[in-house]
Amino acid sequence: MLRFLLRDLIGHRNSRSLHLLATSLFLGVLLISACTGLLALVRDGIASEERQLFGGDVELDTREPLDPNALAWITKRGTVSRLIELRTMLGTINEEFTVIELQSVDKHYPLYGNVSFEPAITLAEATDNLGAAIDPALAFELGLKVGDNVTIGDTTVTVRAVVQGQPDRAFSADISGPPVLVSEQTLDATGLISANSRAEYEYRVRLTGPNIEPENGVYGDTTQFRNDWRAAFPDNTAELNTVEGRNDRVSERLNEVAAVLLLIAVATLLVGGLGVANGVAAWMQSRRADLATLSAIGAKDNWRGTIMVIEILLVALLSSLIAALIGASIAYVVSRSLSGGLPVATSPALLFWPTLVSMAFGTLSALAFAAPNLARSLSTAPATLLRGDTETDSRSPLSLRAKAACAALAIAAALALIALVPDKIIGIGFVFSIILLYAALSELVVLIRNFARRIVQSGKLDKRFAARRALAGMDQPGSPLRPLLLSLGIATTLLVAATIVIVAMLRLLDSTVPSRAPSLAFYDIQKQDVNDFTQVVTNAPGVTEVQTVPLVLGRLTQVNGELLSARDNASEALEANDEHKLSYRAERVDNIRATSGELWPHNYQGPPLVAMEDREAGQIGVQVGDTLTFSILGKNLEAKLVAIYAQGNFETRFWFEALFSPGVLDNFITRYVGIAFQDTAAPDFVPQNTSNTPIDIVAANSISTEYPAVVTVRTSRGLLAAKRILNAAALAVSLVALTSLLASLLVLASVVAANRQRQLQEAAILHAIGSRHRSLMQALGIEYLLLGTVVAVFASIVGGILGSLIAVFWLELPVGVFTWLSGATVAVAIAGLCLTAGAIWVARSLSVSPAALLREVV
Amino acid sequence: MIELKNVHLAYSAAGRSIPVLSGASLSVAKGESVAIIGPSGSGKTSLLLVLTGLETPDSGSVIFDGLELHAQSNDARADLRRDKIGIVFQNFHLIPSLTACENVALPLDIAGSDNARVRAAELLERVGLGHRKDHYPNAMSGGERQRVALARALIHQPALMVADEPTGNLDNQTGDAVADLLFKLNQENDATLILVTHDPALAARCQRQVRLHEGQLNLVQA
Repeated sequence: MLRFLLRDLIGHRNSRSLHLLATSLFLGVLLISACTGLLALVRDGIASEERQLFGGDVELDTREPLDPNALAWITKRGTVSRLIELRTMLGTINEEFTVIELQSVDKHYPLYGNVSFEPAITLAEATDNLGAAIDPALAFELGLKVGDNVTIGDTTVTVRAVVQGQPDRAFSADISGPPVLVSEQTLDATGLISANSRAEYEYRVRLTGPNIEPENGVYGDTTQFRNDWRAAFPDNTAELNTVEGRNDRVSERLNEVAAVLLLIAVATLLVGGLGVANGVAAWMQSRRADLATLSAIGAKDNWRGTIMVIEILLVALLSSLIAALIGASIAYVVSRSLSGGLPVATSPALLFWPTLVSMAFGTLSALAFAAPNLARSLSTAPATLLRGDTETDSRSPLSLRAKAACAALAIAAALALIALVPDKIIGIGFVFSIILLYAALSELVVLIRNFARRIVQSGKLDKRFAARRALAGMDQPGSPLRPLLLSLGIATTLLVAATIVIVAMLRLLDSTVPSRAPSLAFYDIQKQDVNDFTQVVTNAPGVTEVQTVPLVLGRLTQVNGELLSARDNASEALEANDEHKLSYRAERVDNIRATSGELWPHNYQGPPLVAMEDREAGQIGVQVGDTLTFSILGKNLEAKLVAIYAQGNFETRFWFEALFSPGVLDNFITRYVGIAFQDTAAPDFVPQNTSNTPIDIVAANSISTEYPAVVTVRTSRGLLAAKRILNAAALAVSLVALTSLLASLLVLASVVAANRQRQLQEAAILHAIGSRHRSLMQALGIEYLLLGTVVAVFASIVGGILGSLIAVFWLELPVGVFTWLSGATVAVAIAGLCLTAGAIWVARSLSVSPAALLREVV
Repeated sequence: MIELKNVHLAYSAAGRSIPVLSGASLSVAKGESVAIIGPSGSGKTSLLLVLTGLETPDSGSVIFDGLELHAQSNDARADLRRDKIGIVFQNFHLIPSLTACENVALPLDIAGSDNARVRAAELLERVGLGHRKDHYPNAMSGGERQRVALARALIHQPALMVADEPTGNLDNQTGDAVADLLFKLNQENDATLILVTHDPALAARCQRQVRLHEGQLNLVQA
């Protein structure tokens, strides 16, 4: 058998159908391998970037050091880095003072990423022996340079470096002022840590364990950590945050980006699978006569079946292996070339799984799609095949056993696909979507055939040969309409859906950091100073608009009269430890919109109402209609939750967690926060040695002079950092999407071309009996135009709806007219390009000698 | 009616040029029937393709009804086949996705003629396949397929009928029946007939026989 098998394959080495099978498999698997590989690298890059921004996997915040038991507990589960943060004043030798955030770091800091200084020294060199590393904005503001001495508390420290890059500060709120990094010894020396100081202790944990390999994208289970922590220390009041639950819009966007990438990869799997199906079908079609011949000379069904399966397996394995390796190489090269500016990992080890999975999927798909063809060929009488009757066997029903085998393989393939997708719900949803799409398109095929038959039978086209041929061709047995419409229709619909989500995502990424954002944010404005302060800011250079809102800190203690801390769910119960930022509604400050319930009118007067931020409400598990009790300054405040809102974008970073109806907080207000817009676009960072002072710094300095106790933060820095990350993420999405689209086009064009073989044969015969080339081309053009229009319209509508549902209900992305238009454009482009490629292939084939074509027609 | 003058044709295979026609010449008058005979692989089918404008010779000319065939455009040659030439292929070359009736009606459809399917059904009745008009070629026997091909070649009443081994794939009895039909219908149409065959009995039914040998046509029997 082996000898026959090898000889048979070698004998077919020049066979067109074998080439088509190998090429289709190659393209399909290449597409899957390159996209899933790139996805793995980008997802890991994003995961790593998120951890750099967050500072670890988990963070415990307290107002005092953790007790030794708790510290020992967390130290057992990972590397712990302790930071102590304290708001204080820094003085220069000229006795200029400013508010800073003093931050002590230990030898483990930072747990993810690297901190860099100017000059290029290590963290220890910068902070040991009463050294300090200061923020560039502070250096600029006070004219400080390396080597200068400054006073902090009771001690004098030396500026050793200016911080150039600090991974966890990119856009964390600089509420306490520009950061100054020192060692814990220096912090002790300042004498600022006392029982009454408002120091914050941050215990960051990088989880470790036998299966945890952050360098390979395998991170620790933070949910498990949280649940275990709550079980071990139910009374500990430390605020626990995890990287996944990080209350930050940029981090949320990055998670959405990862989800969109997953969607692209899933769509890619199907398109690649279609390519494989196409190749296998062509190969099996070409082998029917051989199967009949083998049967005629005495080969049994099992022997014939085994030969075919092993042949397909060999070709599939070889093609898939080569394609998967090349695909992985493409993903690696792309990631390497982009690693400078993108959150992309570059570890080749991350590509192992996607490569293996792509290869397995290609091979499994080839076998799954070969099964019905093989079963049909084996169950057809050899005499039928030997008569050259390829129609009868392709229409003949399968035996019950064959049907069961095919169904089992199809279910296995579906289960494999669900298993391959990291998010199982998405995998299941995807499989159901495909079944529904298949059913809808099958119905559409019936409708088109009925329509074509009626038109042809009506005799209206009797004088129009080309149009008649085009329509009649759709209703003939063996017409490529069904396979073409099903494959092209499903693929285009999915690609349109993916496009809708991608464009919605990109638009959101773009608008997350608005072009017109406040350039200054103010913290700790005392209640009695608000009006005067507003006046001063209004008069500052370039300021066009000022807005202030109260900032009240409080904890949510009860929901509908039940203690939050008593909940069984650790995540919800731990929320009772969180200090929430509470305020009133203001137009510009947080640009909110209600996602459920309704916000009260601005002139509302009545019982206390509250609205909660969507992520916070989700974490606590509250719903509109609940009665919430907050503890503020030791008093309880009860209000009815009437709305849940989303914050529009990344503007001020105040991130109020709850907003109250007018007057409710009045008795608790002690301080305000504010924002100021300037009439220039958010200015870029300017190096400290330039004489061209940015307008926001000028304004900030003039305000600080009048109100030194108010912390003035230039928001442009954080906005720029956020914009850089989001732009990089957008680029990554675009790149993966483009790779997928281009490869999909190749696969689909090959599907179209393969289905044209019969059309080519018919055209050759028609030309021989007197049809002009032009008529044949017209028939081809009309058929493709009809097919293209049907595919484009169907994909635009169904793909648009599917994409919008995913965008709106799963990812909560806004979908607008432009997004729909993008989807429709992609539908037209894919249908147009694939069919044009197919038409060009047929047209080129027809342009050869008709005699040569006729010789090929058997 | 049709004249071949010193036609040369060679094919390339595996980098070699294989001569098929080497100065073939032939003149067939209107209404005449001529059989071209020769063993398999002698180039008979190639000669037929050249005669119908489906293959372009390397040199020499084919004059059809006073027109230099290969000086015409591709479309003009297609028009000539549509209006004046009927071809019967050895492998039938029916379109498998069309019924017998639709296959026969094709030349009329191409020409935009009226009542194409009605006339096709009538002709199928005449060749004894009226009851099979709605059947697809794959559901028919070889003889039936060839009769459909014959009806398709004759439906537009061509001035020249070219048949390539019309009985080559058929058993003797069926072959005889098809040949009878071919000569009968051709006679009714008063058409010129060029028949390519290696069957001496079939060739003998033609007015003249020429043999294709080493790329040249030699008169065997007038």
